[in-house]
Amino acid sequence: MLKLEDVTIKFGGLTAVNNVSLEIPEGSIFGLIGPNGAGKTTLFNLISGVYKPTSGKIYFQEKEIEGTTPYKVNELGIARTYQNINLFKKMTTLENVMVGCHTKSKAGIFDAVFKTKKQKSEEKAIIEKSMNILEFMGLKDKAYYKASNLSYGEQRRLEISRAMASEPKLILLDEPAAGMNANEKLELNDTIQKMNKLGITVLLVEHDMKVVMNICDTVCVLNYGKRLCVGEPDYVQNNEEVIEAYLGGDIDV
Amino acid sequence: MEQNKKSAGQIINEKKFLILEIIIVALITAYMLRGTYPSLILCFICINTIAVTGLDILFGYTGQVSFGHAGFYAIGAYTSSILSIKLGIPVVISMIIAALVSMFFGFVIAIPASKLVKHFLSLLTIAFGNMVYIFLSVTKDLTNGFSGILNIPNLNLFGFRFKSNQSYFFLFAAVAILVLIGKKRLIHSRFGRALIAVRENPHAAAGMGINVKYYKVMAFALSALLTGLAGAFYAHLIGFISPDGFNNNQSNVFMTMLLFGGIASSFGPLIGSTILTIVTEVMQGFVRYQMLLYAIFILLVLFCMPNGVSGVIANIKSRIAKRKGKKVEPRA
Repeated sequence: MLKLEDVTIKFGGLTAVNNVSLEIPEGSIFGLIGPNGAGKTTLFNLISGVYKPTSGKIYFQEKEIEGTTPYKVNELGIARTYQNINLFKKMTTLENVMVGCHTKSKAGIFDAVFKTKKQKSEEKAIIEKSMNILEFMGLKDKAYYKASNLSYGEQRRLEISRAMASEPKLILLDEPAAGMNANEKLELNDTIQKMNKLGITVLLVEHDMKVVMNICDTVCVLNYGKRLCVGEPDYVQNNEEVIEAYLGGDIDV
Repeated sequence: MEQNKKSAGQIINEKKFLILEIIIVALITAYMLRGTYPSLILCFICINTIAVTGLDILFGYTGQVSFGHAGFYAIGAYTSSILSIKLGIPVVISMIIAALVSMFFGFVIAIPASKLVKHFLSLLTIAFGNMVYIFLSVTKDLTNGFSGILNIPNLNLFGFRFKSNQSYFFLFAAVAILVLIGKKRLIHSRFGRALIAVRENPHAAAGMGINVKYYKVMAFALSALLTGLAGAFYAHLIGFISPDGFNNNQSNVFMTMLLFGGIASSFGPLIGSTILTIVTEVMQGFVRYQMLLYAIFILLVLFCMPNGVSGVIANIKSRIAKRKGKKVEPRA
């Protein structure tokens, strides 16, 4: 579904992502891990169109997408969440999700000002759909709260809800479990798996190994912008290079 | 959608409130309409409401600051005047063309402006305002320079000639109300949500499939359209315009009205322009201190009421509701 070919991006002298090739099969939950500064979020930004790769190609459903502007990437069916929560703070929970429905609705200025039939029915459908998503994510009773008044874990869930509202085929989750307590993490595991069963491919960046190892089909490890290894969770966990990257190599005394 | 949450009793109570407010406003308006000068003030209030609503769409909802809105106001006023005097176009049509011309300039300015944020955008809009002002004062052939344009014809609609301030008031009030309703509808739609999303977080908005540049440009154009229309109204109401009415001060006046009334609120522009128009007229004898007065209003907003008068009203309402034991989310 998503294919990266020798993707490289350089910021001045720093090569944040170095010749990374990946293939994410449709319907999978794909984990992306690595120490801090390994280039995971940069890779996300490359896929979602925030950055343009210095070299290399990114294909989504056989279509080249590198360098496409973010809003067009979303229209193609890739939605994302952010590591440092990026909600519309002064809007309500419901409104946040309604904004997420943007690409799947059409009404323009004239429909809005003259309240055409089309606009009314579309608006009704948007509210209904948003409410369903909030129910799915367990946020329905917080629908009329300001987004800034939600707890940290709830805000993370709201980000996922908002991303889901654009009916993506691929969803990029950037550290969704950060700042969640043990219970919330378990719920998150459930939610991601439920989401996957709805037919959404998931690409997950996460530091919490429990989450990654429990739900991912495939895991890719990045270190210093390079791909260290790709494989099933068990394989990756026992890979020497990976252990070295995380815990430091042996020292010969 | 917020109605879903409110109980039936609350809705009735709010309706009563609104009806009471409308009756009070109508009575005061009716009393003021007896005099020519008070009617003129009412006309100014309506015109300013339209112009400030334009600014609100841009600044309040889309988060794009503009200190050059007098430029659009001037473009509206001058275009309509010149078209109706030099080309003899009927005033209604010249007003509409003026609004559209202003909208066009909104587009033109928005293309560079949509790339800028914060103080860079402020500087660009100030520059725009000054450019229009200088253009008006220098091109004597077209605008008559500082002498201004005299004898701008009155509006003539379906054979009815608008001569008195009172007659103009009814037209302007109707347009202002339509503009306020239109704005409210626009904000509670897909388009309005996109504008607010751009204001709240442009990166996330782009990530959600919103074409940030398009919405910034459209906000500028809509804003310019409304402010230009207000400018055209002003020109035909007064019958005389000169560059002095469209300098930087006028932009600051619009901004003060918006901030004092309350940004991004339904009635903020109306409240702000009502209070400030009346204060300005009352203080007519102290014109020199006008900007000082506005500075005081802005300081009041900065330190005491970040959401302006309408924010204060919303807070009082939510406090009353709380005392009655109902839970209402306060304005953030």
